[in-house]
Amino acid sequence: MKLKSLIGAALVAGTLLSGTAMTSMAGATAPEPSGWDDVNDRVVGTGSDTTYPFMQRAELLFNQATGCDTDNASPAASPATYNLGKCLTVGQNATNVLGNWDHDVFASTYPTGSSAGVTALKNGQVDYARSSRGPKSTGESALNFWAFGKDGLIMVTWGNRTPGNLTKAEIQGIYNCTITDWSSIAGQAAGTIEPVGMNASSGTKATFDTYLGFDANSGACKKSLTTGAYPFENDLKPLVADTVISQDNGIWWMSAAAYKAFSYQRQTAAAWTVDGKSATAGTIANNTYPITRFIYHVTKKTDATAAAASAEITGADTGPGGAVRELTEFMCKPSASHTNNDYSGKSNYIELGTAYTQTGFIRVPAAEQTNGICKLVPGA
Amino acid sequence: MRLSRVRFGVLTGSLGTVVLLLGMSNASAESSVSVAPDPIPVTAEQSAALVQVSWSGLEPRQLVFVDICRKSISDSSFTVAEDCGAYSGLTPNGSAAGEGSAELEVFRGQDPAGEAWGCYAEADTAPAGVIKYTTCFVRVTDTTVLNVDSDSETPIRFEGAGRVDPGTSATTGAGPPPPQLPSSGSSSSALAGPSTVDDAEALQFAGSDSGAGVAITG
Repeated sequence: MKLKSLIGAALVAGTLLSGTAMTSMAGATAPEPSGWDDVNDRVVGTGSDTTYPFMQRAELLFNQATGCDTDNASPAASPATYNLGKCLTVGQNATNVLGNWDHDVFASTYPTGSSAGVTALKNGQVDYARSSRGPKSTGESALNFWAFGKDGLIMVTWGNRTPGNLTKAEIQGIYNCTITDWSSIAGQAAGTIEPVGMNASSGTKATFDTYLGFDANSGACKKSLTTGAYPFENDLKPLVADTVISQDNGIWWMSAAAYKAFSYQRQTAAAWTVDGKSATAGTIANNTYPITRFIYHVTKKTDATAAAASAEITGADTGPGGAVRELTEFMCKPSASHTNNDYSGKSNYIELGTAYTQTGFIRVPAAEQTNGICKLVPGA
Repeated sequence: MRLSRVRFGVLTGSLGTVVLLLGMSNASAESSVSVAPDPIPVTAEQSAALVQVSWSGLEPRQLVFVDICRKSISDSSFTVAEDCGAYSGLTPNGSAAGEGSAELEVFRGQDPAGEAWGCYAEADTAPAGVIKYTTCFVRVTDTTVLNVDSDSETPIRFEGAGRVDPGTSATTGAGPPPPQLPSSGSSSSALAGPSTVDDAEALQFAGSDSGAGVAITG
């Protein structure tokens, strides 16, 4: 579903969608509206654990979105040329091009970590990636990072330790092992601090490393699980169950969104303020909370890109790459360019809003949007 | 000023049902929330105000969610995602007693996340296309923001000279204006003097916004 965005924009602008114009735009033949390959591509993404719940919800909404009338005839004798539910090429009556015309199908695989997902995308092993970190300074020039939401990182303790405030210097000192006892922190009872590390592929770890200015797993005092592995981000259960990590003296960091949204993963974690600030949606939105980050949908530049300040996503016209472009546009276009979900009757913009609420993220604040309601950060 | 779902149901039901449900309400643990001051005094320049939110009856040691919403939780169409401000909530740690308090910055004007509604004083002017609510609600719940088993709410209103709201950046295309809070002197006065309003008044507030009280300006 490849030039649908152009057509959608034309519709929104009130352009008369004549068959001639459409065919010209798409380089395709009738029936109208065309411009797509009329095939429902199966598209796979992988990567971040933190953004996995959101992307699953967004993909479901896109998978459900309105599109073409489909060819529902029984499979023909030649399965190689058959695509179940492809668009009718004769007798096409559908006209809504603001959803998922081809009925492309997206699925997120189980989390592997942001960097592993980005690498898999670079390698051509998946069609798109989930990332809770931005692009690295080198090696990712073929990729576009589409920030669709915002998050913060919070410091948490659990067990019987009562949260207080930590300064950045104190957090750095804890993770570089120059602050080793809780009595060094205002208002805290004594106890040897046990800073827990994190899965090295995690975007949440990459963001925290950037904040610290060094590798959070590098300190001699850092803790891993009894198995020797570092825990996956945001899930306190393995830490609570671990017999080596002290329940009252451990410290870790989490996604503020995951902390809010998933009480089972949060367990008894309790958040600290950082530099006197709580991680609220408001302080994350206006950057007064000291550790904020964007969360990203990552594409190949050849699949999805956009001119400066444009909400129009251009790129691939066919196959999974074109489908990725359509999903990107679905996630980044403003409210007025969405149509209703066929099952709820509510705008897909509202349905996506519910996904943000369910997963704890917030949309990219207006002042930080660059393309539609997203912030595009090209890889370097 | 407190209005849990149970109590609202009690007060809106038939008399016989009221008596029955009152007993149920009193027998069950329910949360409550209050805001001080009430109403919230504002100057013509203020686009936000600090209030003290106090709650009790929540699940012990569970994360607390404090949100500003345009609809009452008793409204059958209420959803957190659509009816509460995405940028305006707090998530304080829960206490062993299930009670606590926090300072909350209440926005006066369009929802800071740019949605087409806002909380206004009666004399305020909302931007075109923005629904003006003269009664909004502070909702609290625990564990997750979607938890409707523990939630309760209290209506909030601004009282003061009118203001023309320029809207948020999502409406105007400009950068977000910083919230205008009162000077230190008036700030302390804004947090002083908690008042109490009974549930009958709460029902009036809820009714006004779920019906004819909603104004579309511009």
